[in-house]
Amino acid sequence: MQTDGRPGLPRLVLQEQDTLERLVRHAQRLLRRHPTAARTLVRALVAEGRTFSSTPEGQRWQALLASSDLISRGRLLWLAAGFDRLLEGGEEPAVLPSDWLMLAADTLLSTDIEALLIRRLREGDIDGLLSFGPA
Amino acid sequence: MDSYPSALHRQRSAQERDTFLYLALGAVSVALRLLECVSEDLDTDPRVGPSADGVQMDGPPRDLLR
Repeated sequence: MQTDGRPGLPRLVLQEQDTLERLVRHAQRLLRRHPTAARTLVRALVAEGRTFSSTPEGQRWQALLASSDLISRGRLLWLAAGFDRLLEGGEEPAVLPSDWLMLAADTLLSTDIEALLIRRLREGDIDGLLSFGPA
Repeated sequence: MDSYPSALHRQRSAQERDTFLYLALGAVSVALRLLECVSEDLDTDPRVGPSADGVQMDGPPRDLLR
């Protein structure tokens, strides 16, 4: 509770800044725990964005995002938290996320998934296929 | 004061370095592609989305495990 500069008039303040700070700290903790995965993900998305920006549709979206207050605020926080360092000294990914997505979508619809799962089960590799644990 | 071309160049250079904007643009690109894939699969217009009555399809829902 804060006063509004005038005695006797309490003002209720919602703790949105705390939520944002917690989110940033959480993201920084994730980066410390999984730096390689975080770098790979960020680089891949930035490369995707650069490629998309060379298309007419991408240019329209870029102009739209550039005028967004949400993006301006996010950029400020991104830079202040030092997340830009994730892009230092790395190579551009050879395959973009949308390429992976298209490949996954095509193969998901054309592959006999039941047969695939049974085959992997017979090979004793079902845990590796379905879990996120270490290989 | 900058001339118009140099101001434009400066603005473009700043945009080139704006990795957060490209990150957001990349996320939009992936989301649009995903929307395209799903819309294509369900035969709906990605700009319109499913109708209020539900997704219009030619046949029964596809069993992905078959």
